[in-house]
Amino acid sequence: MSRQNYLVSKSIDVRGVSCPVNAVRAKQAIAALSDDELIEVIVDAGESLIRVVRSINDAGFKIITSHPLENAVAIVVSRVNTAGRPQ
Amino acid sequence: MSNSNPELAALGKVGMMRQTQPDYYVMRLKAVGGDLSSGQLARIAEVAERYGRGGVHLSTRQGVEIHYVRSQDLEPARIALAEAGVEMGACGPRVRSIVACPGSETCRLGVIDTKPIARELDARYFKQEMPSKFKLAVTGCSSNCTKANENDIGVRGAIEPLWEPASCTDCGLCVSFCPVSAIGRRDGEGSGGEFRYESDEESCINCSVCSSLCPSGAWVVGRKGYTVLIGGTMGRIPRFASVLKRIVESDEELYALIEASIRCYREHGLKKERFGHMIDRIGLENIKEEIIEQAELPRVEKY
Ligand code: SF4
Ligand code: SF4
Ligand code: SF4
Repeated sequence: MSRQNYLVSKSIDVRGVSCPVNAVRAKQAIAALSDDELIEVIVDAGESLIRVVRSINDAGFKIITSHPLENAVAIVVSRVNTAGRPQ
Repeated sequence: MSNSNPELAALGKVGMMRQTQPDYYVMRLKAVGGDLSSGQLARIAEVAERYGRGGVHLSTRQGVEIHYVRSQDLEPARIALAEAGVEMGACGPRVRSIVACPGSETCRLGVIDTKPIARELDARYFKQEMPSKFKLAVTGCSSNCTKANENDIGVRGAIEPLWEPASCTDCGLCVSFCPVSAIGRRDGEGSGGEFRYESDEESCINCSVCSSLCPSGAWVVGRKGYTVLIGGTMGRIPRFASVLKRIVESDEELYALIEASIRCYREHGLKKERFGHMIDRIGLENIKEEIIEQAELPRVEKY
């Protein structure tokens, strides 16, 4: 079974933006979504990815899927936490 | 520093060292896990002002040193510090101040509560005579802030991750965020095939990134405990510590392993030979076997 694809309507690239500004920008962009929209956040792999994912989780947004890029990762996020991450 | 002078060696025992400048001494103070109260800090400041030159030096092992104290002032300075509960540190071939990071008490990444362990190790071993200097460190997680693997014995918080298929949404993120690329995705056999995420036991550094970051809570803490490391040292001939045991789940086993390691070093270590260099001389596998065997024996209580 291969992983599903999702239709994203927006994209923000925070590669090269240092912590915590990358997370702040990503969260602002996610917060501006409507309930049925998905955004793709492109972030540097490594420590940046860990920080950005942590703050997206903490803010209660929902990461739907992800795709590895070269030295970076594209994560697909929705504003509403439908699947419900255990708190 | 010369240890041939018996008087200087005796001073070393109580945490005082002669300086380059004749008749000036360094007072090395103990701060288990780098903790001091504001009252203690105030007293240290007073003593530094009165008996030193009004300054302190912060050591790499979370200690405070007062420099430029004259020999006749050492005793009154020591008493003034002791009144505030500030004890002297250790120099020479002894167990040094126990170092610890803040751990789970205040650090969001902490897997273990480091300070009680540091205090227990301090109570058991501080200042005890050893073949050479002996350093212990406790660190709350694999971020390794207090550098457990640069110490003769290091204790590091560790988790063993467990993947729960029912919660996993197959987002693929864990493959990207695992700091050592230990996580992989496997397709199941057959057409309807189920996928699996696996962490490779060998390369996993037990860091808890997966169990704290999975957006669906599918990586959970399977087992939690202490990684015990032995034989680390920096200094003249650096050597990174070796893993004695990856996950130790009980405090009882932790202390038994530490006790057995210390006994092993006391038995086989040559004078001035660091624990790690002894391990290299005798062979890691032999030493590990001896320590683990000794730790499993029931302890005969002293009477
Ligand atoms: S080692 Fe871990 S628990 Fe300790 S201070 Fe560093 S990040 Fe926090
Ligand atoms: S991060 Fe969690 S939900 Fe996503 S693939 Fe890994 S285990 Fe599954
Ligand atoms: S515990 Fe750390 S190293 Fe081990 S699989 Fe999880 S993220 Fe990777």
